[in-house]
Amino acid sequence: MKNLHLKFVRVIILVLLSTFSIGVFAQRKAPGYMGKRFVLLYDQGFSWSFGRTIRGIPNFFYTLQGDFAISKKHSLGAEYSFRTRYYGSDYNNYNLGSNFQLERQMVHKIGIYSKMFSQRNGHIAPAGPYFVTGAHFHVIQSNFRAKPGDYYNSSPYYSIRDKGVTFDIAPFIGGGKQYIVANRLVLDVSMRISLPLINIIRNIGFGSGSIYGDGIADEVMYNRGKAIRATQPNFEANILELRIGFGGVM
Amino acid sequence: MKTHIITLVLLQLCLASAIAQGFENYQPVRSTGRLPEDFTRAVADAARSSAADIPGKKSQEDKDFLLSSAFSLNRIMLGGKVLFNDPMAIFTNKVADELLKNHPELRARVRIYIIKSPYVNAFATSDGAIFINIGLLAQLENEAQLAYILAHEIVHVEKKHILDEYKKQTEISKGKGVYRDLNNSEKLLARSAYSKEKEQEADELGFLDYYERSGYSYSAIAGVFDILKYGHLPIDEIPFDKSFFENPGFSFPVSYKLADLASINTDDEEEDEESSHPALPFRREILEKMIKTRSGEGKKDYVVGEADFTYIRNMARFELCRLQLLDEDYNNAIYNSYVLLKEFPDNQYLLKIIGNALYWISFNNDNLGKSFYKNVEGESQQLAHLLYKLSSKQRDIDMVNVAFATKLKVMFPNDKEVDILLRQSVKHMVESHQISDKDLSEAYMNSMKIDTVTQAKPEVVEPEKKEEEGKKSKYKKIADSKTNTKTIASGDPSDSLNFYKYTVAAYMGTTRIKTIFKEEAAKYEEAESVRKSVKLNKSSKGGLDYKYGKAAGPVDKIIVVDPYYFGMTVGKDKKVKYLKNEQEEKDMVNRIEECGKAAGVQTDIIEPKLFSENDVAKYNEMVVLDEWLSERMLSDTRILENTPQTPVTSLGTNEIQKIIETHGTEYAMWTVSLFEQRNRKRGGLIVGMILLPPLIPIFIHRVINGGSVSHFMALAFNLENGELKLSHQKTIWDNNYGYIKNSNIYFVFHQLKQVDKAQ
Repeated sequence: MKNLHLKFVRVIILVLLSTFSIGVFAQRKAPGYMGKRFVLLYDQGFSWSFGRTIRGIPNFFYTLQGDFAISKKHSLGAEYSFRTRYYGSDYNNYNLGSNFQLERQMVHKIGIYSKMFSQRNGHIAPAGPYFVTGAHFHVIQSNFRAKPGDYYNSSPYYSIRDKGVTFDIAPFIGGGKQYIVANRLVLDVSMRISLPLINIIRNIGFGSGSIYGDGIADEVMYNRGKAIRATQPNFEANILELRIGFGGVM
Repeated sequence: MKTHIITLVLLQLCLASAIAQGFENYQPVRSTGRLPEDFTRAVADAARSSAADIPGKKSQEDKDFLLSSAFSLNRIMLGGKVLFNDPMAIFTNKVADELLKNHPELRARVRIYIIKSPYVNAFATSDGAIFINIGLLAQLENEAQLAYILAHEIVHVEKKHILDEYKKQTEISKGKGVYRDLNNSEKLLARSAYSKEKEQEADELGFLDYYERSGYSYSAIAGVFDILKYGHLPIDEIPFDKSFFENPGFSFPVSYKLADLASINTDDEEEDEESSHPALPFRREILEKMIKTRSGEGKKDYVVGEADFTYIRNMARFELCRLQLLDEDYNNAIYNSYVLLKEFPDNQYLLKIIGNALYWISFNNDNLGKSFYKNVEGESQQLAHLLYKLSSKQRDIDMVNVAFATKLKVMFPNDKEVDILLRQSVKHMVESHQISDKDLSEAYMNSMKIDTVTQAKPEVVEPEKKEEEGKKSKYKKIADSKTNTKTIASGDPSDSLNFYKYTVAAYMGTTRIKTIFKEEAAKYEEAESVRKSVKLNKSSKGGLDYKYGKAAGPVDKIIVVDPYYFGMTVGKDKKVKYLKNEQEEKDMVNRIEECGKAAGVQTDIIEPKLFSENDVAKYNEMVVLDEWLSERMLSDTRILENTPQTPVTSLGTNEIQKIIETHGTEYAMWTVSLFEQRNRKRGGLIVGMILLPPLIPIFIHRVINGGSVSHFMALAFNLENGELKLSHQKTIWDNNYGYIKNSNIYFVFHQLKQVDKAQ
């Protein structure tokens, strides 16, 4: 299991390194848009949860991002994003998480990314079509109702209230296009696909067990079940995000 | 009125002083005075003003024509090829005064300009502008011929032939009325027939309405159509002596002289059904008939004056040589200069034209084409053959070029242009053949032992015959050549002799010349060692960075010359949006100014569309810079390369220096923007939308913005040394947004500002 964790960490490090190594080789001043290289954007994200059922209402991500053109082709940036509610599938599957009912979930995402701009059609960073890669660190705050009992013989009622904070790391890729309006304003239309990894790791190898057993194991299983129930919706809500952003170039 | 009189008096004085000045220190002719209204008027205003001349209600066709005509006129005027208020234009206007002395209203409408083109042609626009090519002025025999040509063009103006033809062409193209059932070739014939009818009318009415009522003689214009017929030939037919390029150190092998010269084809052309003009024999016959029935008593060949005519024709001929050089017509440029040198011996300007032509032949040897001399007729074929022989060995033409440049340096030691020419020629020779100054000095020592390397037999022409020949006009000589076929005995072939070694030997005793050779050889050695060290150090990119393009800086200030914009709709409804084009070009100026400022590069934009009547100096600057670019472009495809052989131009150096001083920068840039709107078939996109609904936003984007392509190109040079500082080209599909244009323009300035860290 430890090896699997390490593999994922390696993948993340590789993605980040390849993304940000571009900056190391940038030696000359980048042109930017008429000399303006810094873009600050407010992005409104829409993400439909890809679970067992898909609901019509998307999850809303509110994002503030800033990136800096380091060459004619590349921008490096950082962003903070959050959502206050979760609209997704209500599932009651066989795994541990099904003993928890998610009441409310707030997610904060902090990430860094690199945008690689297309050079076709005279585009120069930070304007034009781009491909984006990066990674987010997720802080997931969840409120639950839980069922007492074990996995095979649990109560049919969610009678316990609980809350918890879990974390996730999600590399992402995506693409979009940034338009410049009136030499200062920026319109950004984009989409992202991300893969929260911790959720995947948790799901592998922890597919069965009981919430309440004896001693420490019970408590561990309880916490794991809670974490799965927290990260699973977050995973689904992050798979595909469509964004529209407004901001300025300076 | 008072201002006009003062201007006229001043212009008269200019002409008088110019005539007095002669051609010893000839400099390319420039426009003077104030910019005429034709240059400063917006396209829409010009179209409106032309519309006022057409009585009655205007159809859409009329409006379209007037707009396109105003736009074309504007482009001609501001293209840098038009001369006004120069001696040639002043003289031609005086001839028009004589022709239109009884038509003051028409005279007020007619404006005459000179076009800097080597081709024999004249044309008129519907609103009264008449253009006479320098190539035509250079070939005239007398003032009366110019008067007749002007009379012909005046009829086109008075009768509004251009508008009529446009209407008729549209009618024929659209297949209206009687043209409904015609196929394409029949339509072409119909168009041609109508055009011929108008040309014939201009020939006849030009004679009857204007020429006949002026003071010009009838007999003087009998040969006027020969000017058109033999317009492709040089200004005169005199034997070319190859010893012109020889010097005391060497002479060419005898076989370099062509034994049989191709005689000039004097056969009259046959009637071409598709031509826009009637055949020359037909036109000549009609004119002859009119002349025969009239008495020419009291009529003269010259009304304005023979001295003035000879002066402006010589000026046209001097200009023609340079135009032919810029047109890469090297054989004619050299031959015409050679002809003029008989009248103006040792003329610095003409010799420099020849020197430059040789340099470009040597630099662009491939351009001459194999056996090009076979297509040349008459006496100039001798020169063409010599150039062909020399060009067949790159080394030979290079050495003869160096020898001629050296000769010029000896003749004009203080001429900066000659100095550049010689250094550039030596540089080219050293780089191409690694011939050092030591080799040349050795040749010099050897040459001291023998008089000349080969001894060509000079062609002996009897003095009386020579004088007699000299008095004849070109056209008379051509007529006489019908009966005399010239054959020159071929000499003994001694081609194997390496005469190239001795081409500059005669000058290698001069310290000043020797120094130039040494300096250029040393520069080459230095450049070579740098190149080798760069090769060894593989990590060095030599200033090129694929991510950024080439850093071209630091350039703090640059002259931007005539930013050009042209947009049109292509496809079924081919259309040029003239007014939009004019506006876009002005927008381009704003963008350039803004982007330059943002990048920290100061811009001096020479935009002809913003000229006022006091901007003649700016107009002339634009002309000089455009000519500089034309000459720089002679390096052909190598224009975009900064190879060690990048040529530096030398003609017009003094004027370029003046521009550099005035603007405080040695950098100049030319930009071109082209835009095509294509009619996209939208059916496919609609089907796509139905089949792939999630991609609807992308399809909508394609529908709105699709089907356009724009090109943007910028070339920046160092005017001092001809170095190409930057070349930027971009093709943009379907994204005709202002921010992309700005991005690209800014990027150009950004590159100009950046300094390469490797340097």
